[in-house]
Amino acid sequence: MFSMFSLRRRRRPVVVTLVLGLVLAACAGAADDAATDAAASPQDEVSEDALVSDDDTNDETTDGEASAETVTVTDTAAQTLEIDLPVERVAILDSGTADVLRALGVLDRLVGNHQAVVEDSFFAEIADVPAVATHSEISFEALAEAQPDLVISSTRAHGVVTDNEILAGLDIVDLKLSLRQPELMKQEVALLGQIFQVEERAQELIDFYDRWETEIAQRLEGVTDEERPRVFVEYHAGDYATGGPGSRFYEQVVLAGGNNLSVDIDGEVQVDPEWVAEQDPDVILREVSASTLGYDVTSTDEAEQVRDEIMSRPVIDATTAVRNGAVYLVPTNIYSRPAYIIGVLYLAKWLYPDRFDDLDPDEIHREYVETFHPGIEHQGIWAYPTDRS
Amino acid sequence: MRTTSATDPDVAGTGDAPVNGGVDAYRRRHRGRTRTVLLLLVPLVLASLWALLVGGASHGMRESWDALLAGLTGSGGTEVDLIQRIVWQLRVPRMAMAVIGGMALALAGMLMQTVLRNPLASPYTLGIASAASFGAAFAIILRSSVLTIWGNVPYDWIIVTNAFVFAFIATAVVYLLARVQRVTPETIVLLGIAMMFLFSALTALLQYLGDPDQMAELAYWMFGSLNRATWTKLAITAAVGLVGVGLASRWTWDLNALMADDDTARSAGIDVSRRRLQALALASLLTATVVSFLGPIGFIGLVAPHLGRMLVGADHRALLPTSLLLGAIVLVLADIAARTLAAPVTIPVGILTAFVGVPTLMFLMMRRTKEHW
Repeated sequence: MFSMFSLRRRRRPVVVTLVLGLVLAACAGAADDAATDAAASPQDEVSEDALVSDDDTNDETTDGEASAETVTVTDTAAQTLEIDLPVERVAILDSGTADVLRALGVLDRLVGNHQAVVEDSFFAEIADVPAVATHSEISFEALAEAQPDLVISSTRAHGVVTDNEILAGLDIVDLKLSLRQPELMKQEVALLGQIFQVEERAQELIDFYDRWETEIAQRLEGVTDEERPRVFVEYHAGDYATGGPGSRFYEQVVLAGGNNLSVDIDGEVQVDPEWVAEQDPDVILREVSASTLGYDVTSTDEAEQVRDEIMSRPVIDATTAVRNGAVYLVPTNIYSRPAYIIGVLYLAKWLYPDRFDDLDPDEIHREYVETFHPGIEHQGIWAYPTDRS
Repeated sequence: MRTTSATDPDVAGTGDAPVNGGVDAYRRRHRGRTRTVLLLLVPLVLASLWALLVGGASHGMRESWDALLAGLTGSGGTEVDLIQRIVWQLRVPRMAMAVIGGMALALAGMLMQTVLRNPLASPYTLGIASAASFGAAFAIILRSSVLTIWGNVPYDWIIVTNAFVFAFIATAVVYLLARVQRVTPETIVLLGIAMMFLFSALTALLQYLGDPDQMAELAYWMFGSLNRATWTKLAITAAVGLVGVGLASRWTWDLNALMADDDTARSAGIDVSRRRLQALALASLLTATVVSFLGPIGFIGLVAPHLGRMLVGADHRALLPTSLLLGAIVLVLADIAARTLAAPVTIPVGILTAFVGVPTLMFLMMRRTKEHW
C-alpha cells in the first residue's frame, strides 16, 4: 500500500504535464508540418561502409554541422523512415527497449525515459533521466522538452504512438519495434545497430543469440518432429491465455526443440481447458511477470503458488505435464524480451535434461548480463523450479 | 400462451377487487403462468444437455453422451478415459455454474429492480462489479502486499476473496448510508452509482500503476469467464443461491407491494425500509458471490427479469421462477457460444451474454401487448 501512494505522488507531475502537453503539442503540430515534409524528401541512402564507426567517436559528433548522413530504414510496423545520423538523443516509450539499448552501449543517449524503467533497480544508472511515458500515457510535453531525435515505440498495445501528427510536429521520428518476438529480434537489433552506428556491438548480440540457438540445434540433431515434446505456453494473462505463430509466445518453444500446442491458433487468445487436456501437453510453460520471477525476486513463494494453481486445475491435473511435474515458470524478461535466449535455454534443458546436462542456463545468463549489461550484478530468481530452488 | 385480459390486475395487491368472473379469469391466468414456467424448463434442460455435449475437445456429441452416461452409471473401468473426465470435471461444473450463476444474477437483478422500482437497475447498480474488479485488481497488481494479509492462499482464491471482500465493503457502505438516511430508492441508486465511480477510479489508478503483464491479467478477469468454475466454487454458489431463492420466495407478496409503491406496501403491513434493505443485502450477497468466482458477467441480471415480466407479468410468484429460468438459459447458451464459435479459442462469456440476450429482449418487445413497467 505504501509503495502505491508514493508512486502516485511521484506521478502527479507527469499527469499535469501530460494534460498541458496535449494542448501545447497539438498547437505545435500544425505549425511544423512544413518542416517534416522537407525532412521527408528523399536523399541518398548512405553506403554500408559509411555507417561503420566505433562507439567512441559518436559522442563527439554533436555539433550542428555534422555530416548530413541520412539512412532510410523500414521498421517493424513497415514504416519507411528517413533518419538523420548520428542519432544522439533518443526517448523510449516502451519499457522493454532499455534492455537492448544498454546491450548496444547507447543508453547514455537516452533523454526520455519510461516511468517503469525509472523505477526499475536494474536500470539504476538512468533513473534520473526524466520519464516521458508510462504504461498508459505518453507525455508529449515532456517529450518536447527532452528533444529526442528519435522515439522508439512499440508495435504492441502499450508504448504505441497513435498521435504521429504530434511527433511530426515536434520533428521527432517514431521508430516502431516489437522487441518481443525471437523471429524479429535479430533484424531489429541489427536495425538499431545501424541507426545508432554501433553495428559491431549489435552483431555481438546477434552472435550471442546465434551461438546458443545453434548450440541447441546441434544438441537436438536427430530428434525427429514426433519425438519433440509438446508444450503448452500460458502467458501472463493467465487462465489458458496462449499465443499462436507470430505472437510473443510461440517461437521460443520451437527454438528450444519443442512442439508448441498453439501451432494452429491465431493471435493471442484464451483457449478451452478441455482442448488443452485433450492435447495432453508433455510440458506446460507459464510465462510470469517480473514480480513473480526476476531481478528483484528473492523468494520462490509466489512462483510456487502460481505453479500449484496450474497443477491443481481439474483434468489438467491428469495431463502428462502435470503427472511428471513438468510445469515450469519463466518471467517475461527472459522469454518475450531481448533476453529471450535465456528463457529458451531454460526450456531446452527442461525439455531435454539428458542432452543439456552440462549446460547451466543461469551461468549463460550471467555471461549475458556481464557482456551486455556491464556493471550490473547478476542476481534474482529467474526460473522455477530449478535445481537451485 | 397467456391471457391478456385488460381487467386482470397485473400487480397483485393493488386493491382491485375481481369483478364478474374475475376469479375465473385470475385462475386461468395463474394456470397460464404456471404453464409458462414449466415450459421454460424444456429449453433449460435442452440447453444444459447441449452444453455437456459440445466443447473445445474434438470428441463428437455421441462420444460425449456415452461418457456422460458412463459417469452416471459409474462404469468405465479403473482407468477413466479422457472424455469422461472432460465431461464430468470440466463441462458438468461449468454448465451447472452457468445455470446457478445465471439464476443468481437474474434473482439479484429482479430484487434490485423491484425494491428500487427502477427498470435500469441490475445486480451491479450498487457498484458491486466495480468494487469486485477493484478487489481483483488489488490482488493481481499489488499481489505481494496482499499475500502478507492472506497468508498462503492458493492464487485464484486470493483474487476470489479480494473481489468478495471489496464487493462486500461497497454494499456495506451503501447499506449503512441508506439506513442512516431516510431510505428512498432514488437515494440508494445514487449512492450505488457514487460507489461505482469511486471503485472504477480506484481500479483505474491501480491499472495506471501496474505493469502491462498485470493489466493483461486484470483485463481477462474483467471480461468474466466460466473457465474458472470448479466443484468447490459451484458448491458455495449453490448454497448462497439456495438461501437467496428460499428467502425471495417467502417475500413474493412483499415484493409485489413494494413494486407498487411504498404507501401501498405500508398499508399492507410491510416494514418497507427493512424489507428493502434486506432485499438489497440479499441481492448483493448473490452478486458478490457470482462476481468473485466468475468475474463481472454483465447483462443477465438486467435482462432476465425484463424478459420474465414480458412472459408472465410482474407478479413475483410467477416472475421469480421465470427470471431464474431465463437467467440460467441465457448464460448457458452464451457459454455454449463462447466455447464453440471459435473452438478451441474461448470468447469471454461476458461479451456474448449481450449477443444472446439483446435479440431475445427485442423479439419480446416487438411482440408485447402491454407495458409491464
